[in-house]
Amino acid sequence: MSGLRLLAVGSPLGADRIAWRVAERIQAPLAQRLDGPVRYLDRPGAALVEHLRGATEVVIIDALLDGGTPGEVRWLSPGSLPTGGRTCSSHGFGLAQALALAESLGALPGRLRIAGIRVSGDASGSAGPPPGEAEIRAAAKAILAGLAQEQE
Amino acid sequence: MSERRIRIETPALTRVEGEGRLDVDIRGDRIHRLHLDIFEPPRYFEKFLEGRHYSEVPDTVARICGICPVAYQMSAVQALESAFGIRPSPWVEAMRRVFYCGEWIQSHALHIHLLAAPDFLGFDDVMAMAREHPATVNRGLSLQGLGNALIALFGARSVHPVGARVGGFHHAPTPAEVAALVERLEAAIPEAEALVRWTAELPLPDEAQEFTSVALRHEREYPMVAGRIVSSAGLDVAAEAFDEHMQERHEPHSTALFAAIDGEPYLVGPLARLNLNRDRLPAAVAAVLSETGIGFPSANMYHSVVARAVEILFAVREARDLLAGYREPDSPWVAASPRAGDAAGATEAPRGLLWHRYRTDDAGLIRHARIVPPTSQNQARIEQDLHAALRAGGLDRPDDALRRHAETVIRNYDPCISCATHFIDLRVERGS
Repeated sequence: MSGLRLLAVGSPLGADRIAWRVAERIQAPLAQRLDGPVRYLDRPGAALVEHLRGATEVVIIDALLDGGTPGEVRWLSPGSLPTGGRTCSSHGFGLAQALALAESLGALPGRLRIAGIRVSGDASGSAGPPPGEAEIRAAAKAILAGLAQEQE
Repeated sequence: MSERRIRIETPALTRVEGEGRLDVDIRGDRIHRLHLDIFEPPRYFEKFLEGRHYSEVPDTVARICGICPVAYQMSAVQALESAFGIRPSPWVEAMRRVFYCGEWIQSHALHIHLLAAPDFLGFDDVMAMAREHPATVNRGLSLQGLGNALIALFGARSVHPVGARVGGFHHAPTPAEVAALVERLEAAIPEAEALVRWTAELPLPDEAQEFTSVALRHEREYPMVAGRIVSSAGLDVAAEAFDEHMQERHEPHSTALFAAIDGEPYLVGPLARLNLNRDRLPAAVAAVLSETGIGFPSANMYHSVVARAVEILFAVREARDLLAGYREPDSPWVAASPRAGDAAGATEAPRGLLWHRYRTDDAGLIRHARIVPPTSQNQARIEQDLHAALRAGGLDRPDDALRRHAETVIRNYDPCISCATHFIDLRVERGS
């Protein structure tokens, strides 16, 4: 199917829900470009592969805990994702592992970008409290601007 | 003769759930010490529950594990319903079994394809395996997705579902939602049958060991959410009597407890279940198993992977049958009236028997909780297996070969240290 597929990866827990909140904001402005409704995925692990199949262009939105300013967006490619040193338990099957598996299966779309939304967290790597309105608004604006820029 | 000591520190052992380490001290031709060191901190869920209202228990215990949350919820509600003297409706009992089928399908599909199969086929991980066996891995992902969909049907989401409550479910799915899933289940039956045949053809090691199998046994059904606790050594008791026969003990090297039955290690999980309940398989599933030529009960621990595939096929068919002719109930739960009580519950998690006990007060507050997960019960058995398997394979092998063998043995149990409490790098010491 042609068009952009938007995958919002997160969970209902604290800052990890930011991708879902931001996707709610950008779905309407992007409606003409999308291949269908935004897919809201709750910690999909290896199941992410199924959501990549059949797409030509995919943007994955996910929370990013890298010490940066909450609400900022960092654009990433699959190869630049940190693997975290843990490999391939089914509890710890994260975005990097899922994309590596999709690549092995030939399931990666022709174009794939990851919008990492910086969230607050602590030194242990635990994400912080639910995102505030300012963070959601800033991230939505940055993602829309990034997607508009690539069309120019 | 000069003494030779080698210590190997590897990164975290891969393809198991949680964190720990295997510590092996080999002196000459014997194993001087072998410890499965589980050093992940205790998680204190039982203490968290004390003082909480009984209605909070299902959602709280679901957070113990991202892979087997349904099992935690089902053992908990069973125990609390027993303490309050309530009996769920036949609709609830049937749909809980469907809910549980979803968990068996997704957990077993993940273990077979992501964790165990790369060992048997000589790959480092599923990514490498997927390049040469894409159809097999795709089938596994498809089955996993089906299991997740069944969990979400009743739990609202597949990770840490929130649909279960004491007395039943918060919400009943619509007939249209159920019909869509029945169609997927029907389509998955040939895939699940093919998976059984595929696991039976894997180049599995041929190693027989003596061990005691422990599982639930139901008067009619293949055990999942009900039954008495039985063993291959003749035990046959109600869930209430679990702690009269199974003892837990601390070992200095582990933050998880070690369980024993009359002082001896025992096995829980799919192989133990099938060893004790092959005659409870429906004829259609038993026929596919018979085709493989593998006989159960089996003393080969590696037949666990075949047992998992058999249980996937069973669960796909069982869910389809239970959802056939589905009707929305007047209410998806029966009301609970809390009272002071003390009761146990036991169900069959994907990894084996999961036992809970709760003591409540008149207001329905939890006064005491005890949870015994399958990996705690299997810990001593895994060490026992490692002793036998490493000796049988030869202790003079290079460290890398020893490590690979040990990891394969451990992964075969699908240990969930996150539940038990957690796993692993390998340290080998050698001396004369």
